[in-house]
Amino acid sequence: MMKRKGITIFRWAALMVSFIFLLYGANFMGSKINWVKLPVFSCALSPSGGVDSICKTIVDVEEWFLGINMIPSLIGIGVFLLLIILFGRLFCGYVCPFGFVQELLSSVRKKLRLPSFKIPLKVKPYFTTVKWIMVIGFLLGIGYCDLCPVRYVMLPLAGMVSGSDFIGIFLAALILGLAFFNERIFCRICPIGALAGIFNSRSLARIKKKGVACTHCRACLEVCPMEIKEIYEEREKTDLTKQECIYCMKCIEICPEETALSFELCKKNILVSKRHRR
Amino acid sequence: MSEIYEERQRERYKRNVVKMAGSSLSQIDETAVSPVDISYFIGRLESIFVGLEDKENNAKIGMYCAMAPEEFVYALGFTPLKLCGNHPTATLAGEDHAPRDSCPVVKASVGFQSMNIIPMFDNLKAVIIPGSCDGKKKAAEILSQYVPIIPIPIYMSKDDDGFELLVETYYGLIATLEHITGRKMTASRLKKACVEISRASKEAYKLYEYLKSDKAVISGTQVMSVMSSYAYDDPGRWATEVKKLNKALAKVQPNSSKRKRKKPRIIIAGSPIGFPHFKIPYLLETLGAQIVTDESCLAGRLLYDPVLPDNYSLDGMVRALAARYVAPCTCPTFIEMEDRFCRLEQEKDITNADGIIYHVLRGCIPYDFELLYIEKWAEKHGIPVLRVETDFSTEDYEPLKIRLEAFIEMLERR
Repeated sequence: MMKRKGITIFRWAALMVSFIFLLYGANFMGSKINWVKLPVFSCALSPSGGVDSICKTIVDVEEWFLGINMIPSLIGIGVFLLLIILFGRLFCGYVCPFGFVQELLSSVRKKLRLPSFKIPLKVKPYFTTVKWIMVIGFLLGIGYCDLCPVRYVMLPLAGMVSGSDFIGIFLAALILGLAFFNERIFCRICPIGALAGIFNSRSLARIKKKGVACTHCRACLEVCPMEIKEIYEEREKTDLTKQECIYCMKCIEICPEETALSFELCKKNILVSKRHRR
Repeated sequence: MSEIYEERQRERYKRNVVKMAGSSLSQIDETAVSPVDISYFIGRLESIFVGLEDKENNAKIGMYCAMAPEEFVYALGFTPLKLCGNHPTATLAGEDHAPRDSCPVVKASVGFQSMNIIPMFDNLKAVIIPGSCDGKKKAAEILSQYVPIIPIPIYMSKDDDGFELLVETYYGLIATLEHITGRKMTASRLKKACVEISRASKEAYKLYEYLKSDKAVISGTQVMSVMSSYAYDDPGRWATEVKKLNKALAKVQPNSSKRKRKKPRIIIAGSPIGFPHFKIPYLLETLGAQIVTDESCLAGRLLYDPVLPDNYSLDGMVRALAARYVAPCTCPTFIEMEDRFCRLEQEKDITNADGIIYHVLRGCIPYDFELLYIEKWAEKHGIPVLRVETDFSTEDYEPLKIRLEAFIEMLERR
């Protein structure tokens, strides 16, 4: 049977620390760090957050463009670009507070031993379409904040009033409900994740697979929150860092074959799959 | 008149079953390479096939393929038995019910039920028969004359569609088992069963690590008989015994040998090999080769794959079981062959093998289909393959011996 140790404990700790920092950091520090814009969804409308996320800067361009906040905003965008070019979606798995909320919900479901909701095979392709529609809406900024489900979850969690747009609240409730039954369902359509995912193919964080060692046991696909099929099916290619990958490492951790899957950061082997003998 | 005839025929079957099983059992220890003790496992097989006893008091549910999930049976409080027959006498008896050209496993499986002489195979609550190949599908109908059957479909491809269908099938199997046994499946029962059987799986993995090592202190024939005894034992009890065996293997020293050259290391691939059909491993090891691993679904593949659920809800475990039993299965009944080649290549690299014996049971067509491609693959990887077509009878013993001897000699000279 599976045992989760090491990297999962580290990941939960990282998510928890960043959740507290991104939601309440400014309360403790006194002010926000203005020139960092993280590639995650953490509501920028909240004054108590320690660091802003990139979302509001992109959505409300007119607020800072040619204004007094232009320089820090441009630096923030630069930092954002640098982070996603270097690390791709690594922040989704280790920093994103909304990802943490979703994982918390699904871990409650797992503890309660309720069945998961698997997205039907026929519906899966539509998620990609929805994702890119979200990206377009996000980049053009057309009313994105008013409907953003993250806002209606994160602001109340930070102790703030979030606004009362009915559709927004409905969408937030829907996403939370789905996230309870399907781990990280919002991450599949997350526009920031989609943008960062473009750089997954070139980033410093790589998921590698040794095709011959794989027995096709499907364990990796069963634990993958993003349901990346290639991690199970592919045997020819060695690099399996797909656009959707959030580097949660569950596949490597569960893989029962020695050295079949591994994680490389800056060309250094960090984690290798192995058979649990006890 | 016919009653007397039937009674006499039954007595004759009984005599032959005992004789064959006994001679096969006595051969196992001839292959020993160290004084390690496997008498518990030999004793289990002996009591069933020679003593004709049934020491298992618990109610039993049988299974006729490695793709039937025993965790379900175990979780409901029944003892799962793997009933695939490998006995030549049972094959003969089976020929009254199945065509001559069908595979000997099917004939022997049918034969054991129709002979009705092994008490262990009586009083089964039901048998689960996965429709993994044509032989099994047809056997289901014949077996239904003797025992309640639960046939389950196995889908031809291992892709997503096939997998989701299989998950549904497994849910159906649970419902059927609940109906037959009158007990309810719960997540905690299934988890307990999974944990218990994974103990057996882990110990089997360690046992094979000892076999694969450079200085193996246990012979392949011995390991295969240990694995064969799993089919008729309580998984938990078996795991405890193998744990003891593994501990003993860590300490034991190999017998002194006068050999100058290294024994050629051989992988047995192909059709299943189970007790008492041990003539190939026995001949190989008495002729001076060393079996390093096997691909038989009654031995090396039986417990190789672990159950790895995402979560311990009933749903999570059923999905994990569907994945464990079918997704990595190297049975050639599926339309994808790649898994087998990768598995063989990996085993070849890990064990540092010198040659492969490709065992084809006469009539086991799916395995025979792949031989051509296995030979091409082997040529590419520079490893010799010998195809051995045989059945459970001992008639071809001598010609087989000559062929295997020549193969071993060829490997030694390479």
